[in-house]
Amino acid sequence: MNAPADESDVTKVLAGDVSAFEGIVRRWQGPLVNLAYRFCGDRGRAEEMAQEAFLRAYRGLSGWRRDAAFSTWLFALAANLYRSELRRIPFRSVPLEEAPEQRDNRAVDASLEDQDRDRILRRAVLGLPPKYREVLILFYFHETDVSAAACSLGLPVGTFKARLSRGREILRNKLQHLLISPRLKEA
Amino acid sequence: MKDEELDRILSSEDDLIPSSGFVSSVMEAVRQESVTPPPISFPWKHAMPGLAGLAVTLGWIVRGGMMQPGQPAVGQVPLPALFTTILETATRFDAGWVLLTLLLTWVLVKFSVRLAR
Repeated sequence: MNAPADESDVTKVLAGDVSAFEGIVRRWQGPLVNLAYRFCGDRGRAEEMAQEAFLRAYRGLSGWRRDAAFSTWLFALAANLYRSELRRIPFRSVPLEEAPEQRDNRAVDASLEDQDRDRILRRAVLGLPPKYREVLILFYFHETDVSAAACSLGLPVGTFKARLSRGREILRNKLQHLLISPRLKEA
Repeated sequence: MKDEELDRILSSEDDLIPSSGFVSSVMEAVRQESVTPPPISFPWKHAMPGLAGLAVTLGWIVRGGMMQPGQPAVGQVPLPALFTTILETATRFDAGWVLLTLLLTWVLVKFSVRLAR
């Protein structure tokens, strides 16, 4: 959908028109910030990480070989950066007041119990060992598209699926304990 | 909890809207990046001969220092002909060391000046 615009902007930037990069930032700011947020669970840090990802994309723009979609290249670059960032400085749990602005009303309509469960589940994902956490984050970010997610992480599909399965298993075991009495656990 | 339920919850994660100044902040960083000259990479190609010469000299000095007293330093360490000649001369006259040091210093100064240009 954005491919022709991306290609055109990249060509302009490589020809020396720095302002053409703004089009790329405008188109991909949402996905990159959201992906970063899924990795770190902190709005401010997510924007910093996304900004660094855009800077790296700008520096390495000539490295996009155009044999794959620009978005594939950009997500792989961003995912790689976010993984390294999180390994360097692990995420911290975020107070509820810092929760992100909501674009849809699904969570508002849901019952409080459901909201608690969902929140616990998302935190449990962030608490997984890095190799499973990364796989789960990318899998849901790419709307359960295994090949796109595996590509973003630079993993073979088979390895990705194995880690996804193991990650879900760990998550389910964790949740069995956490969901018995979430309020007690948080107290 | 089943996989379908996990999928449903984790797929419906709320979207975060980037702050209004995000684009301008990124573009400012990009413009700054574009006017900053790229860092000068270390000229390994030009530095290699000098580094190799330094390594050989240091190796010779270390090996010479480890030899038993009374053993001749030159002749036991295989060195290129040019080095052997220089070292033989330097060994014959104590002042040779001073000359060799001066020569090395001169070479290194010239080399550093050339790198700086």
